[in-house]
Amino acid sequence: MKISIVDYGTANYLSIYRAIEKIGFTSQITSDPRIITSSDLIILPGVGAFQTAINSLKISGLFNLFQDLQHERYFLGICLGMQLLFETSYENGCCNGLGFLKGDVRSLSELSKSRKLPHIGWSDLILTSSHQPIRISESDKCYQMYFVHSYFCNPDDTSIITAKSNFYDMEYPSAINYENITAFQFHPEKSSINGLELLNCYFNSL
Amino acid sequence: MIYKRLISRLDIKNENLVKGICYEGLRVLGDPKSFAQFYYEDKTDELLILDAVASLYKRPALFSLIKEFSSDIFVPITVGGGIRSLSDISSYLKSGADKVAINSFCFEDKGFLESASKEFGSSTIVASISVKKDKQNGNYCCMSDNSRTNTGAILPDWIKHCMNSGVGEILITSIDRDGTQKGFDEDILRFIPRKVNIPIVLSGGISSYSQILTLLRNQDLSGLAIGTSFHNYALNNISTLNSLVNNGSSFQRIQRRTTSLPANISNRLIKDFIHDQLASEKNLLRP
Repeated sequence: MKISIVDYGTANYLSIYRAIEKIGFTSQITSDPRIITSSDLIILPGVGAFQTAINSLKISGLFNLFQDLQHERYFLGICLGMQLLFETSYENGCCNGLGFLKGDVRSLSELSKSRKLPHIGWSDLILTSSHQPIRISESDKCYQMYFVHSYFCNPDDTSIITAKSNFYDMEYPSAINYENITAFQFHPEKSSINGLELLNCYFNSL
Repeated sequence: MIYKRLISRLDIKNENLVKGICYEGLRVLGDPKSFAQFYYEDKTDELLILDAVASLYKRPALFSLIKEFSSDIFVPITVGGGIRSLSDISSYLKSGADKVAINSFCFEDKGFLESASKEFGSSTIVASISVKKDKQNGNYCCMSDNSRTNTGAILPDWIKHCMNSGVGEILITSIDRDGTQKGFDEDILRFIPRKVNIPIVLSGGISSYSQILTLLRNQDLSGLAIGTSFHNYALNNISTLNSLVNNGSSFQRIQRRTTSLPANISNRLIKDFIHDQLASEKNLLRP
């Protein structure tokens, strides 16, 4: 399986590359449209500003390329990468995303006011009933993943939500799956053994 | 609701893990990768890697070390020491760091934290504040250059500056307690402004389960970074734990009768303690 990790700016891409290597797959960190077009799985990683990432994708031509490839390749969005998949983000005004999924991206402060942001740290994943491909063990044991974000995704179609997490007393989607598109708000590559197992389950499900 | 964090702190000089007392008298403890691997397997929540001499030489130097960690260690890594430019930050992120901690250069360029936060995202930037108590007036002075220089800034003013710069997190280290295992100086808490809306992590002298519990229960605090107390445990257990984990054996639990322990702490043991013996507190730390 050919895997590309999209490079659209300044972030730590090495960790996801190494995590993929650890579970026995190889990948390339790239912004080259030819390499990305020839890939089976396109990973949108990252931490940082939505607008900056979208601008970078537009400048490199990848924004339009992804529109062409939307139904033709597997996409995995991680953290900022998950948010880019949606139609609109309200981070610092209003910005259009890739629009693969209907819905928007909002500040966690809408869920619970006067809380510390960014949301940094480990949080439980609460699997929803349609939780493939996120199940990582036969038991229903709750497991934790590492989050670092100030915004959350709000899909119109809630049936695509495969896991939720809590921001204080309010739930928000932490994982989604729709046909060829999977995304995690957390960082599996920073979530220790469980994160690696999750990536392994996901890759083996493709 | 998210768990509070226990962060393993590693001070590095050249290629060695070191530890001093009040930032002085650095003693070599061993190979950083072995300790970092140990803490990862011992279920630490994050790693904090600080270059103990970088600001002396005015350059960051941990790139290859961080790259080495990235092949086997899959928890977040914050790196600090001698960061003086946006390109230093970019180089660290490309080497596998998730966050960078900046102290000294913030005093030379008061706009640096803000430009770094804008460029890389606030959640990438940690404002690192090292404080030393002024015995005459009780103020906490912000020190730079590995605690050698008094910047003139004091708490809480400097915390407000960091917050207003848009950083994602603040790390406060007690120089007076660093490496002493005499407990974190809780008097510092009185100088943290009421409404700090970003996570705060404390470091310096933490060595007992009871203080860890007290600090984790504090709503204003998000995490604790621990060096010496974790290193003491590691030094006694490093080869044992690594081989147990590799063989797939379960880690042997040690029952403690009191909440106060000798200054020798394991990430995993304290999490087990909180989960097993303090069921009402089990949301403090991830199991």
